[in-house]
Amino acid sequence: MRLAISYLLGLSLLTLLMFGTNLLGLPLNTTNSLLLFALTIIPLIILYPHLPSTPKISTSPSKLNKILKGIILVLSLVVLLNDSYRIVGEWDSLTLYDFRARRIVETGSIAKAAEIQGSYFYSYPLFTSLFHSFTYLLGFSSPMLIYGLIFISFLTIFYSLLRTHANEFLSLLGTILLIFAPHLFWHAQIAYTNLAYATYLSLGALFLLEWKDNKSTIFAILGMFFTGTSVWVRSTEPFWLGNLLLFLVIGVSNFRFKDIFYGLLFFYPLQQLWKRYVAAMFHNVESTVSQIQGSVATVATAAIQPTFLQLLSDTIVFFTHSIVRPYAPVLLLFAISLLMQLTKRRLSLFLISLIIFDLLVSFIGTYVFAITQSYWREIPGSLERMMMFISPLIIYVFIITIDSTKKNYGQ
Amino acid sequence: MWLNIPILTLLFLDVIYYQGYVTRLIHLPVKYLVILSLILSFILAKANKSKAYVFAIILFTLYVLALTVEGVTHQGFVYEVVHLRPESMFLFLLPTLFFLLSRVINSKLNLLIGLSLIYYFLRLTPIVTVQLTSSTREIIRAPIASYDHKMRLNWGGFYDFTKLVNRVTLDDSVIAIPPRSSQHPLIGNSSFFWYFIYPRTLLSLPLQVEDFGNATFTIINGTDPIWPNISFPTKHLWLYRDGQPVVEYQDILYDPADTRFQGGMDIAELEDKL
Repeated sequence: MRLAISYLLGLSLLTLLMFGTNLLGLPLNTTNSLLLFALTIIPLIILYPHLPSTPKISTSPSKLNKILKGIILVLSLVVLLNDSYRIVGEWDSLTLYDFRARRIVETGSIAKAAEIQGSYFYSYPLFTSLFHSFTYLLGFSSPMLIYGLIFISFLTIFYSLLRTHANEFLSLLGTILLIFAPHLFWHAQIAYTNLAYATYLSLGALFLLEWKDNKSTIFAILGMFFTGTSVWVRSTEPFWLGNLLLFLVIGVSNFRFKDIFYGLLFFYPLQQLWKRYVAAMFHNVESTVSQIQGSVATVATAAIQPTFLQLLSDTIVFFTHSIVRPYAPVLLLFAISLLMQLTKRRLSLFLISLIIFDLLVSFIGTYVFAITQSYWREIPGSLERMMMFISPLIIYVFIITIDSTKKNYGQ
Repeated sequence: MWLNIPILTLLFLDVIYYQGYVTRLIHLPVKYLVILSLILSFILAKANKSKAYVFAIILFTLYVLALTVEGVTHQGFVYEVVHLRPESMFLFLLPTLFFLLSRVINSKLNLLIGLSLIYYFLRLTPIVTVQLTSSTREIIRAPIASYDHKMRLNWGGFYDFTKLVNRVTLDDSVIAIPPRSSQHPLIGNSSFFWYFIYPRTLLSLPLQVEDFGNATFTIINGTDPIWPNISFPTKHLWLYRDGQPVVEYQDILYDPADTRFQGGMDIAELEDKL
């Protein structure tokens, strides 16, 4: 697990360093990229022994567990094999992520690349574009292996976090469920931002839950740093809010104010970074408060129009089509988990609240989008992909719930 | 148990014949049969066949195998060989696997867990299998393929056309393109097209072209309706058709009514403005 955490931390740190130093005037070329890579490695080496590791719990060897491990291994290797072959070739990555990366490589400057592409450049933060640039600067022809390694790191950390609570069979089953979760396997093989977003956001939440039980500050820091990185991957979605609320509720209710300070220290700069940069580039000095006031006024005005009920009904249909139907297998696991927890009267209150909160946010967000944007129906695929992060949270609660019933299948 | 067997047999007919065969036979949507079978298995669950799960695993493995074979060959291959339709198997396997589970497990809660897992894997395995086989199939077919080959796999003839554009235009060329619309999804999307032909500049023009502005070249998209839909003289014109050699004309008058320009993608160098 340490290696997997280091990899995800390293990707975040490297891209942040590339961004920060380039803004300060350091050109992005091969030598400087290697220098920044070395600078990323140093704190990781120092931090490595303090990172959480996979729990070593001795269990009697089981044939079924070996089969499950074999399936995970084969599917992971297939992802790596495909990624070593694939190139960046999908629509969004060509129009934005990889286009930016190639212009950054050519000009050595983020500002110059932005000047070439215009306002579209600022649509999403530079996380994936910068690691594309990094691989091109090092002479590789494709950055796809990085996506495969994000996926494998995700699986490794997810398994390890499950293993601290559940038996080996259930942890392996949960990991296989994760591989099969909607979109994840495919997104490990294409150059979109959704896999990285789902990885950082859901692992951020799971680290915070671990912090609740484990009480170790490192989990609070990891949880909030990963949540912050999810905003550095995709800044438009507000799901970081759920993780932040979870963090504050756990911290305040347990009087862990020192951890709250450290967590916010690692989260807030990342959450603000892209927003502030874009605002500075457009000389937009409007305060956050006045922005919120403006948005609330727009939505409130639209919401009291006579057509709002029709729009609400359209949103429900759209939401059902884009979220409920494609995620039906995962949502069924959630329904069963809730049923089991209610029967046993042992609720994983924090995680269940977070999942319900995120689902509500996605519905309300869709409704607000429908009110404010005329083309809102044209993005069902985008909404579907955006919700990829919900599957790991639901699978986690499903496995933990089964384990807590103490009926160990297959063992 | 004996109530369930006829229902499952009926559902299997869709796998042998075609999806919708049973509906035509009994004038009832198949999903009602599936729900009925699931309810029967749930209510009448009796754990007396401890080895039933082995049969369930074999059935599921065969299903995955059928999907994989179909993925690496072509759609319809499994039907051609064994006369079974993998695409119709979901509605048969869901109640069948649950029925087999109900012969191994008594507890209602555990049955619900089992049902949710069966549904999960039956719904999502085909998707992952298709994704897995479609990628690996290309690796097996062309293990050391070039960048061009891989791009062609993604974007077909459009990619070759962008290579032609790069070949016949200069880096500082300004190329007129149609507006972004469903008729011109690739060429009309300047953000997308730009990736392939950067550093050339794209100039997005309206559907009804009156003037080419400062463009030095223009795209001709021979879709229906053809774009641009006005006549104009050209210095050079290159006709691109998938899989055919590029045809080059000099000093030719472009006329949208001319059938030579219909049904393909072309690039024309515009005459200098006086």
